[in-house]
Amino acid sequence: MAFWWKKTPKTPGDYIKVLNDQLIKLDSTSTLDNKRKTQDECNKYIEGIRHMLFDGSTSGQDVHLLYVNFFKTECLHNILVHFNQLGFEARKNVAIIFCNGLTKSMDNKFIYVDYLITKTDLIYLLLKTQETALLNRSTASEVYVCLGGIVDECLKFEQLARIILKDPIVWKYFDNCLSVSFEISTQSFQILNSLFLNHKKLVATEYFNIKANMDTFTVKINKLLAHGNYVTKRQAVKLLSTLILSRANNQFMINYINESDNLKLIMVLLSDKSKNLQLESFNVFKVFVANPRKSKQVSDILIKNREKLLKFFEGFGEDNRDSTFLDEKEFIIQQINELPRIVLASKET
Amino acid sequence: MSAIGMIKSCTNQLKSIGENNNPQNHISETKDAVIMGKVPVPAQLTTSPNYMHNPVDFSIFKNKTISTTKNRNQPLPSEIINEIIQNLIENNTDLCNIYRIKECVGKGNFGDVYRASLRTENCTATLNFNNGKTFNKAALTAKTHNYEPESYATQNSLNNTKEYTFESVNETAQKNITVIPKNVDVAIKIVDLEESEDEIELLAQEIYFLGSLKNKHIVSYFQTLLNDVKMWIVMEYCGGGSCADLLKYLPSNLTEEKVSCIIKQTLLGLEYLHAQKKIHRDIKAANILLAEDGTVKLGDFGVSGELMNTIKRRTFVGTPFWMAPEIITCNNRFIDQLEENGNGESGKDSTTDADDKNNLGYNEKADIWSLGITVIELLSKRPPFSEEDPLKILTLIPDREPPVLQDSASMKFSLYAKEFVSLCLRKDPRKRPSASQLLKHKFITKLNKKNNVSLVEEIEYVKKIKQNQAHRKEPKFNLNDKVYKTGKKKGLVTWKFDVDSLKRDRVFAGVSNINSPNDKNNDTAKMRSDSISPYRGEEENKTPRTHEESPASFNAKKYNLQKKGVSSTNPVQMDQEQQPQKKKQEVNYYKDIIECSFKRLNERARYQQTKKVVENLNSCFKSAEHEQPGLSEALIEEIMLCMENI
Repeated sequence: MAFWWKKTPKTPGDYIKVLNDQLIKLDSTSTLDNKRKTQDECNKYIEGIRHMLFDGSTSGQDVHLLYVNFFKTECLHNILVHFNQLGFEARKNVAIIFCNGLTKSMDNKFIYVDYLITKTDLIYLLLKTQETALLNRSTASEVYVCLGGIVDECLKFEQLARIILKDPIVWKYFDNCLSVSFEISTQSFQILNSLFLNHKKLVATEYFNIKANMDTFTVKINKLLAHGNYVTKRQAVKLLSTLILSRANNQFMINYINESDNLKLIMVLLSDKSKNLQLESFNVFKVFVANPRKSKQVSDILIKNREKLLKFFEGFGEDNRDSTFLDEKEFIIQQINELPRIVLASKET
Repeated sequence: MSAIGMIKSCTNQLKSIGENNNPQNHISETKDAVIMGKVPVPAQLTTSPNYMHNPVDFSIFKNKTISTTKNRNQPLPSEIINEIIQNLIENNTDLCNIYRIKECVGKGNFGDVYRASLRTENCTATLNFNNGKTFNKAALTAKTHNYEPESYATQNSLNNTKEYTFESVNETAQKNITVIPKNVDVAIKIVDLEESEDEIELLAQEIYFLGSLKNKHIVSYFQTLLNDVKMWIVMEYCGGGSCADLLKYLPSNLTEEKVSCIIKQTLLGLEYLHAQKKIHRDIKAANILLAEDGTVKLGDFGVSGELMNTIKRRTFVGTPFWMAPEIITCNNRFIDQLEENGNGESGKDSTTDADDKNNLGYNEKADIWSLGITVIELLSKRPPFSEEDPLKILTLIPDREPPVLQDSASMKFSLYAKEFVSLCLRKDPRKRPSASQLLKHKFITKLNKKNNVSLVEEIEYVKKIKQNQAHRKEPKFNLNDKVYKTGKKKGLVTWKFDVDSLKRDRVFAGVSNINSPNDKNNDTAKMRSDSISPYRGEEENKTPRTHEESPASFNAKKYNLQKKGVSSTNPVQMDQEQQPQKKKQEVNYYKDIIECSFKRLNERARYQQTKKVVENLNSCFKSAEHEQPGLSEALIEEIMLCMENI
């Protein structure tokens, strides 16, 4: 490392500038050798920046200048544009620099978060870069997870979460949950969880207040519940139950539990062979049953399956000793018991 | 239908959606997917014909043995493995067709570890079948022959084919980037997600962490696959076992030179790890693994934690003998927790990392302490205090003076080693040197001057003993236990979702059961009304109201909607939004039908007597409806149903 360290520029501003120049050079280099050389240069400078930020010997002023230049120049934009061309360690370093930068505050303000809010195109670029990373199959999961870490960090800040939430690209995360790659699938869920659970009030008042959003969300989450693999289903039903059981999302809950197709899905999951899936889907099912104002279609299905449900709940969650669960189960059984019985018409005619 | 088949059909669906650029179509299409499969069991997707195009028939390779190549030990780049396996998965291949599971090589709290090998014969076969289709970027060429994909299988010449190379036309790698070694071993950690108490999210975090490490002295992570409810974490296999095996099976102690060689490489791994702001948290001989060529690699990151910036960790994790004092003192609740868990082995993550900036947490220096203990362990076969009870240790370590490397009657140690250990075992973490500093210590530099110390002999020796002893570990979990692939039934219960048939079957066991919405507070009772309206009438509506259409025409409409695959959510949601306007158009069953019918009957009646009976009947109905709102509707519905049946 030492051989190039000496040639490095002195001021943090210069440092970022040199990196930026190299990044731009990536587009213009024609030969493979030159390109690789430029890539190596970029990797080195990024490594250098991270080193300066974290080795403890850099003055506070310089650290500040580094961050300012990292975020507020073309540098961040160029890094994102060329993200796929950076090396493995360089990509990780960018994530570390970015995530740490977000947490930096000055006068009780997250200065870089505040800056990014004014530069929504950077946020879109970030989301877009993550999506396009999937096209390169050999590095897809690695790059996707790396950028996912950055997106997830952004979602910790309400103002950034608001911007991301309102971008239609968010729906892509649902699709990506069905990826065959474990990493891509779980990382997409991680982002969805952060997106919908980190800032409950934001989601309830600015997202689920729109009917179209509720409907699309329902369609998307149902798709995961119906077609996902074991892990996808478990994560999807958990996200759904957390959302539905959260008081803030009352409107969404009502919307969801009035639709009989949703009930059908949840009942299928309730009778899944996996105990974890059963228990987690019970948390949604109970809301359907406990709803005092069930829709006609929903109560029809419950009535139709009254006997089956009663039989099913006899052996449901037997090993579970959790008192809340037992109380809820008892209540649900009672509610099902009170449903009207049906007699086959053929018997009477 | 295997889980992989489901994944496959899902991805196909995903692809087709991805191609659909019109967001409007996109949404309706996915809605259809839910509605069309009336019972949305995943198995309904089995009809997806997409993967039927090129079924990979492995049977032809069954009796073929594949010659091993010279490049046996060459590691397989994870990108290539990923791509091959993704192809196999997309071709609906069972994981057991991708990896051949061999013996169990370890077990732990987190799951059993197996030695396994990639069934490269299947991979290459798949590659050939898919050549030019899914492998757009990588063109596969056989070095000795150049078969056409179709003729390849029939020629049965796998035995002649020595090795394959990928010629990537990808601009980043124009030359041969890899030779896939056959029968290369991998280690697969199998974690039963159904049994694991850890959240999937946490396990995923661990996996991202493993994936973010690429270093010669850290066990490589390849990928994670899902099989039934089990997660297969595919990692590099270290054929030489662990350093703990060396201690256990070697007749004599390890020399200082050998230990220096091990510790040097461990430090290189740690240096990389710490530069990533990560801590291993469980350094000990058993977690220092050896490749067959003697390369030392850090393994078992089951308990590693990420160390972000100045945020220190407050979780209690590790194995007591090797544990740094600050880990023990950082959290006073640990003993309670340990006693609850009832074991002295590695405790579980008990607290999440709190962003405290006081000195309660610990940092990467904890690994340095554990390394010091490991040096003692490697040189004298045991960590200090090893006679003591693991729980008692936890009180001893913070109280006592740091252990030292002591000469005994049989063993004398050099000053270098003693100094190295004492540097690592400083109680104040700030005074402990970093991994990079330790690499410059004379214990590392002097004793290993020429870099010619090799552990291969020891590894071979231990390997032979293990073979002779038929060294085998019994896995904790049965590999063949499956949740989904047993039996034909998809779920535990088959629900009845054909609600239309409800109309035919429905005869309520008593009028009182139909409806009793008099009691305004008793909402559940109200709900039981078998009103035909998709949404119950407003609360103030004593008589359930419904669409202007007759039940029959409404049913017909609904049926048509479902037939067309249009989501039934739409009409319902429209109703909800337009409820205020619709109200006027709703049918009052008593007024509009019963009373109306009686009026007409009345007109049709020829005799006064008949008219009177009709009027009486009408008033009976009127009072009945008043008493039991909704009765008229129910009656009409029943009449309709009877008519349908006739």
